Amino acid sequence: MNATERQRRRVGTALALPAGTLLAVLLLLPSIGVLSFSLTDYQFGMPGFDWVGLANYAKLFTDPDIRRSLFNTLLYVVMVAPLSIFAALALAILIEGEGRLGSVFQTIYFLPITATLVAMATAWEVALHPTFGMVNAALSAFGFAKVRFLSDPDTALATLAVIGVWKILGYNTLLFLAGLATIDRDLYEAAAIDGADGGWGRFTLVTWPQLAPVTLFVTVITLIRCFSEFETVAVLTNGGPSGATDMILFTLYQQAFRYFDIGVASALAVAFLLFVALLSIVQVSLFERGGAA
Amino acid sequence: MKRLLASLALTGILAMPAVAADQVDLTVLHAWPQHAKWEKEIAKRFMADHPNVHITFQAPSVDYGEGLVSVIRQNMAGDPPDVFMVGSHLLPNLVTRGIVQPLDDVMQGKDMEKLGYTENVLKLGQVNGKQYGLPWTDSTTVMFYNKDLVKKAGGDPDNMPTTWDGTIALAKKINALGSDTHGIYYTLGDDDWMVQNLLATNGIYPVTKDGKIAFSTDKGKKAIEVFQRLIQDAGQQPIADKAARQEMYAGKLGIYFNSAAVVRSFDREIGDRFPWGAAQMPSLGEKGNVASGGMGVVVLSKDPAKRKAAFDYILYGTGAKSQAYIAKQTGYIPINTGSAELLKDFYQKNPNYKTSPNQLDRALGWFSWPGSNGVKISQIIMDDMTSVANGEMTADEASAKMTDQIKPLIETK
Repeated sequence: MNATERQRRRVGTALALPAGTLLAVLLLLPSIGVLSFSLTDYQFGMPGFDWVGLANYAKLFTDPDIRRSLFNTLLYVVMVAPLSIFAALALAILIEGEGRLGSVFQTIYFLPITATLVAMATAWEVALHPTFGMVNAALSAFGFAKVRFLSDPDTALATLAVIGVWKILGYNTLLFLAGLATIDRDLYEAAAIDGADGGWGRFTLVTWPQLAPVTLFVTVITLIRCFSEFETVAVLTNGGPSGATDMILFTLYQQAFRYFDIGVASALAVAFLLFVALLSIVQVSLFERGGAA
Repeated sequence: MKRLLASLALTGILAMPAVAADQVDLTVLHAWPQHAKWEKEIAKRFMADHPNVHITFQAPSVDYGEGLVSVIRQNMAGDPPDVFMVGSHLLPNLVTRGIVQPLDDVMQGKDMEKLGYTENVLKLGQVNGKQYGLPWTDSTTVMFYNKDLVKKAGGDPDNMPTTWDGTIALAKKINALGSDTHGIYYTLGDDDWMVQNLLATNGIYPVTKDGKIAFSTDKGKKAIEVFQRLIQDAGQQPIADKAARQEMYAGKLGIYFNSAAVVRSFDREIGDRFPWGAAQMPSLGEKGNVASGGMGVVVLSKDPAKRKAAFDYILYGTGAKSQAYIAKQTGYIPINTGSAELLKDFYQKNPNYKTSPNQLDRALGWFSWPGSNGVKISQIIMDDMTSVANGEMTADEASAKMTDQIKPLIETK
């Protein structure tokens, strides 16, 4: 190693130091803290704690409330993710095909993203009111029975899922639109020459394969966003009725800041972190393989 | 010379705080943003009387639980607010964490009885026999009702039923009036206080005198059954409190139960669109009780000068005049004996505000669960009671389940 090389390394280290320090202080150290807390029975604000090994992790599988919360989260993801991805794809293709009005539709579908969710949740609350709500007024006008959307345990989670789709749809549509814009027009002409000049043929032969990287990205982002759903639960249902809409992040918040059980909350946080990290790693590795091909 | 002048000027500036050494700054945290208006007014009046004390409010927390979290967090950072209004059921959480010290130092030499605090009122601020705080507000649950609907259903709005049986029968008739009118709604509230109150109407505390969990006793089970009857017989819908209260304000709900602290809100929201009243809680036994609760005020500062100023503020806020003012602003029961005289005319003209003080003679004292799992227990009770409302469990099943779940939580510390 010669002098200039060493010099370059020193400068490189110096330049990386600020970002590295921030990363360590804001991300790595707290994560290590959470990891350590997950092995204790620490109660928020109490002077001491004991090490309890993996007991908190065992609770994730044995505690009925936490299990229900994890199950609800999965159910929510299964309801929201596929719908918001495929509907967004369909919308994007329709909007792209629609010449002049395209940008109008695009704005309409994107609006929920720009609104503050807490304010919008309150609007939903009004619309879904069990007696006076607009939705129930419409239902009874058509002769259907009224639904207690957010207070009936059978409908509460599904109602949140609908709001979830509404919230995320515009964002996904926008990503797909961006993806569609990058597809080379020549490919469609080439496909037409090969006989694929109908809508479906063009879609399966050109559009869908060309959108693969975007689809992968949208899928991962959507999954992470669904798993970390919190606001609608906190604002609209508080996890109720009787825990029917408890989801992982809301449970984490409750365990930590209402029951003061930092140990269990940390174990949940670690589990959540692992999951998100796993998804991201899958994405990156698939992405790189796609790039190489 | 110039330098000398400059340094003289500098010493002058540095000395300025010393001139105002008597000045004491107090930070105060209370829950419920809707209380900010009257809290600020009391502080303003206090500061006018005590120009050397300056009170700053932290942003009010949205409920009692959030307030406690905020205080614990600030205490860990070493700088908790000097004065805190704590939910009556959460006071032990401060004590077990050593965040609050008894008021012995500042209370010394004060004749509390003469200042208008009865033995029972002082007891509300005690934990393990030590005076950690004073009650700042006190409340019981009352029965709000729509006089028009009661009349239409054949009831007498000036003589509301005093038993649950009578109340349920009346609610049934109101519910039968049709056109989207509902009979009754007993809110479960934000914690287990409203269920404590159901138990109280049958004369018991959540933990009985011989240490049993109320839900495991016959009296407790009977009280929980009342809730099931409200749903099955009296027309209570299993909906959120907010939605039910909107129905009440819209004149579509006959009877509604909640803390008397919201009497003023009823006044404001209903105006004179229809006549309404607030009656005493019905009883299940011959003479049932009512639960009471509210917020206690505690001093968290350890600095002697601040503690003294803070205690003056507390005495001011719990004094006859301030308590009368709070009663008018909310519907809370004044905790100071001197307030009764000041409120005479007001109560005469506004009888709905007097219902809660009127039933004080049958109120049980503030209750908090033994151990440090009170919040978790509240959640369990609310969840299981909601299941009863939704027909997922019978009252007896819920009583058994609540007993099983609560038992380990009050036995282990």
